[in-house]
Amino acid sequence: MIRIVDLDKKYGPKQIFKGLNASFRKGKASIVCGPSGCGKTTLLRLIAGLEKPDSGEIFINGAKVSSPHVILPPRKRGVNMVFQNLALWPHMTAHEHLSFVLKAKKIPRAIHKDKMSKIMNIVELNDNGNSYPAQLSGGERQRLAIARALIVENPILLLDEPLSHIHPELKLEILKLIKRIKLEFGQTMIYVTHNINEGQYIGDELFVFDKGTLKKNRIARFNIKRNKARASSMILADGNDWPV
Amino acid sequence: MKHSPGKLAFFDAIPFLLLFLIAILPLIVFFVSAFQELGYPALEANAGSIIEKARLILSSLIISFITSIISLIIGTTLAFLIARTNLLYRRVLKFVFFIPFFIPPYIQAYAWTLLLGKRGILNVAAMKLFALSKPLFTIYGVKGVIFILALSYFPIVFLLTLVGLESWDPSLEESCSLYCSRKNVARYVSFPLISPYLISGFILSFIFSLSQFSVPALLEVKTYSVDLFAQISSFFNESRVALNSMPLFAITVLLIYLLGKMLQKGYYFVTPAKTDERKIDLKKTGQFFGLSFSLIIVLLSIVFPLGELIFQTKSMNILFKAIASSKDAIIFSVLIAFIAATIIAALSFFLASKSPDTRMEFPLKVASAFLLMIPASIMAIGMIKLWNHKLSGFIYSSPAIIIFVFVALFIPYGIFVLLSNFKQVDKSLEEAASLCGAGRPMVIKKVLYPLLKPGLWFSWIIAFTLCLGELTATILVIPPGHETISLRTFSLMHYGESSFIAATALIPIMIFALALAAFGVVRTTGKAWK
Repeated sequence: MIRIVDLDKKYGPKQIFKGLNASFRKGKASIVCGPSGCGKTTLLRLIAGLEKPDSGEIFINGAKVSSPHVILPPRKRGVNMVFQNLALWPHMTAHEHLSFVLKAKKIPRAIHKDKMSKIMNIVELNDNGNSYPAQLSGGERQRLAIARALIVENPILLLDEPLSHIHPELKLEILKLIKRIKLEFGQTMIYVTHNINEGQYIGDELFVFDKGTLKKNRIARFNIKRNKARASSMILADGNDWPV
Repeated sequence: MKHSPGKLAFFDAIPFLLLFLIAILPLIVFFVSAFQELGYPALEANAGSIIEKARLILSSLIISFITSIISLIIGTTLAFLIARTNLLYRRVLKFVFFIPFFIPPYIQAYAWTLLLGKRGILNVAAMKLFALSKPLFTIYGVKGVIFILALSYFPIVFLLTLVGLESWDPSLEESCSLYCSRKNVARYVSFPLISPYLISGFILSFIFSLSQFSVPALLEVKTYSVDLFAQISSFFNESRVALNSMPLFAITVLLIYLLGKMLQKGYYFVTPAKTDERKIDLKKTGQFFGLSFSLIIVLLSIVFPLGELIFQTKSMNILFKAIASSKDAIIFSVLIAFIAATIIAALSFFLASKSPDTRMEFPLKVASAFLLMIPASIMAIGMIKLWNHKLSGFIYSSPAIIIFVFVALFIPYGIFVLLSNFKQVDKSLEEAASLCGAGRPMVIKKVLYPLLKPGLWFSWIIAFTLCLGELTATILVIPPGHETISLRTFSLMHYGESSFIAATALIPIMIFALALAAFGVVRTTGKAWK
């Protein structure tokens, strides 16, 4: 479980949020929605330990990981993240991305190959192992970023608008992949988006940013199998509920 | 949208032919003439001279290597402080660190001889203060050459590293920090991505140091470049000198090859990102050390040398006298630099405008990288060999030869600036104008020129300042009866009176300052009109 207590964050004179409180349940997919600039990405960066809060605290599974005075390094939090701009390393091939993470996490060498081929299979990048990010298409890059975040099974997965750079036709495909991953790995997932329809498809809980506070809302679920046309049109329509 | 590379029309090929004629052909001639000499005995064909040459090459390589390492350390540290930290006054310092680039190395060297020469002001003060019988350190000698060249060439490393760091996406490091320690983030992500910029800066400053003639000559150090110049002055046999300068040429080619190999992957083009919010927070101690280091570099590379020149000038009368006596050289220099810079900007514009949609982009980039790194002395020798003939003698004996040399030496700067600018202009903008019925001249005038004006001006001002400060090639090709301000200043340094030399040395710097001020006024006025 991730618990946010009275969190304040400022960038220069701009107050991103003040006194933010929220709880994200273990093993659930929580969707965080809100307009551009409301602090969605900042919230993920704070949970990942990439930013320090000005005041307030963050707890992961009961342990304090962030406060203005204490900050647990990102690598020790058990967090994986898919960045909005993907943050793929331009000097590494797809395979090198994955093997780098495995080495960094000290996974025994003997199982590297198996793990890599399994994850490449899931994200359907089998033929692109030796390609650099620049040689991949938009969708393939997105899937590589997801593969990197999943190659080591950390308990928390943060996704920062993972469909923002994707061609509409690929959106549904990636969403299905994320949903499949959620079922298979059972991680605590926080999915940040400004498209509420994506959240409806994938999430268990919905959080909406409203004037600097996070409000938990009821999720209007629909069944993609029963209503394929509705799901596709809603997701592909890039249905923002907020001015972007 | 991608466009397939098209063929080059005849009229579009003219700029490429001009580039070949002005810059590439002299190098081919240089190479051929060196080969022609292979059958003949070398200038001093004895074992002693071969050992002497090997010793000179080795000492030149060592000087260049140490210079480049120091430039690398200074340039990289400053670029890091400016681009990645919240150092105080970093926006002002960013521009201040470019100033040494506009102070020609021989002027830097001369100013330091006044400060740290045997009777230099700092040495005299130190000797009095500590009752010493002789100075602790003089600027003359190998250490002095390295010191001056490092102060002159660190802005090259600074500029390149700054470009790299400013186009840096911090999330590349952040994504890595989810898996490993800060040390490993630096090792596996930061360093591999920034290394192409560091290596480029290192190689450029290495080649510039290797071909430097004026600074070692002034500081009484015999290097390979000084020796080559002495050979030209003594024997007037350019073919033999071409043959003797082959080691320099070979080293340059080898370094260009290595650089090309290293940059081949092209992965170093990192997506620009706004990094303002993610600067490294320097606490009080960090600010103190960062600002102290910046201040030391500013003092050593700008304040001390320029301050000393101003101090030595003593009075405005001497400055006016120096300006009056150098009037012809000033007019000649400004005129030649103006013409050369205009040709460079125009030619670069046409070369870059045709390259992105033809197969010429890659050869143009390779040729520009090659020309950028060719030592000025080698280009000058090639020019002499090419134009010193009965039919083309009118070019060799006129100021046109200097313009040709300047264009050949400095056109890479214009090409690189404008190529990157053209890349940013969407092809569809031109296509839309063409569909509206505009011919090529109108597309250039109404669409391309307004969009590329800043880049065009920037390349002009860079070319102008570089032409104005050039010395090594000018000494070799200057036609009789003409003198540039750089040449006059350098000549005076050997026999003139110190206050008069100091005043004359200030003139090129004053012209640079005026040119930059004019550029600033034009830009500001342009913006105000808009």
